[in-house]
Amino acid sequence: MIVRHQLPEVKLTGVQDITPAYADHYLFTDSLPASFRYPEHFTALGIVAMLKGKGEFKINDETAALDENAFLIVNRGSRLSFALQGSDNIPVLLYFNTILCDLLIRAIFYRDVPADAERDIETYDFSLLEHIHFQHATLKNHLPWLINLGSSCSSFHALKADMLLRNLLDNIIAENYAAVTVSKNLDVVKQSTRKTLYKRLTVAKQWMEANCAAAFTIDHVADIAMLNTHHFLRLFKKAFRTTPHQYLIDLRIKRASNLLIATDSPVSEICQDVGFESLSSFSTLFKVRCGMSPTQFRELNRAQVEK
Amino acid sequence: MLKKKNNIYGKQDWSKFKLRVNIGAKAMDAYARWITSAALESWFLRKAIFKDPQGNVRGKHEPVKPGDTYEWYWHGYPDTISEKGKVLHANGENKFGFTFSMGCPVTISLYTEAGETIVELVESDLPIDESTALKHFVGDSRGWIFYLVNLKSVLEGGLDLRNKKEEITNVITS
Repeated sequence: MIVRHQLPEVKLTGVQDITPAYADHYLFTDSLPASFRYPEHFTALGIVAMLKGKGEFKINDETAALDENAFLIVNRGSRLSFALQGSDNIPVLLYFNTILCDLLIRAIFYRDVPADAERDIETYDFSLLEHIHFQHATLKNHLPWLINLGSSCSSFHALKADMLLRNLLDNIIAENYAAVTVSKNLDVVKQSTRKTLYKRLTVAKQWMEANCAAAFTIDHVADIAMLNTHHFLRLFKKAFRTTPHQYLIDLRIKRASNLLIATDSPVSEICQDVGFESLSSFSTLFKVRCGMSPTQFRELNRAQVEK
Repeated sequence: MLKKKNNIYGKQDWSKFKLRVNIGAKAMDAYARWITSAALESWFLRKAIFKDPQGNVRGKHEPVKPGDTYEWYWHGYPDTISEKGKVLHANGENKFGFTFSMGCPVTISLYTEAGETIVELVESDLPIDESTALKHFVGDSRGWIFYLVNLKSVLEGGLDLRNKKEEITNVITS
């Protein structure tokens, strides 16, 4: 893989599906002017992000506003266009090697399956992941390394870039597998409906992850999912096997556990930082989930580190 | 596909390359630098993990054997950048081999010429499709050139030339 300073060729999109094939990973990144617009083109499986600045990205018929804290996964054969806003914009377009994607999917899911056997088409379809994702640590660390390696004189630079890309691709394939599995929990026969519902639930779930310390109501999260509250609660439990409320508690307790290990902050402060209003309910919930009080948890972990 | 001869890049076999370096050290000492985790970490890798076919991690100073698998990590890069492969040869004397980038076999042979030890590295079966042939040929050979020079430097009592700082990037020494 090398870093390209030219965007992928725009082909007439029209009504035909022209899925491009990439024999090597394709990574575009460059500083582009504020008013820059890129017309619609067909994508390969990949990632779209903004290293710097803001942009409005249209993927098929949906619009997503991206900044440095969010990214998009794009499915093969989707239609993508974008318009940049503000000044000092650095977009990133990463399309994975088409053959490698297929080989990995085959190696992961069909290792012992005869070549001519029927395969679940959904393992090759990444549309469930095609929505805004909030920038997570792995991608945040990977992208600068990739860009650096793509135009580097370092030893084995191409090999090292390929290792990172493989790591990213493995994660995406695993995430897609999990998404397919979870979406099937919804028991919705019509595939397009199932995908829409799954995406809405996932966006709401990720919003909760990003805002778990804030005070909000389930009605608000249901609004994010564009579902009525009753419907949202029922579908969330069906898909993720837990209620939004329990999921939120799990998120807060997990965050509190990390803070107890990594900081010296008082328990009462951590309790507030992660979004609990009452220290007693925090302590009770913590004990139920971790089997000990927050203070005991901190002491035990410190003792283990010292050993 | 690039043909081996008379293609647009000239009469060049892009499917393999051979590199040789002369070292003022005994062949056995040069061989020893390839066959344990500790020895590889002294001139090539930040961390080398070898496992026997049962999955047991070999000791830092325990010689590897054909059939072992490895995970290699480099100085200057995080653990997310790791190469995994398999040991193909280790004859205990003058031949060591392993799979490397894209599973290509790399064979190390050691022999004497004019009183010095020659370390010869051959990487073969490189992909020769037009879009990636240059990338693999140039990328891998350039990487090995630096590390073979570093092996020479370390074995001859010189400096370890590797960059070990993650904050320094885009240098030939890592």
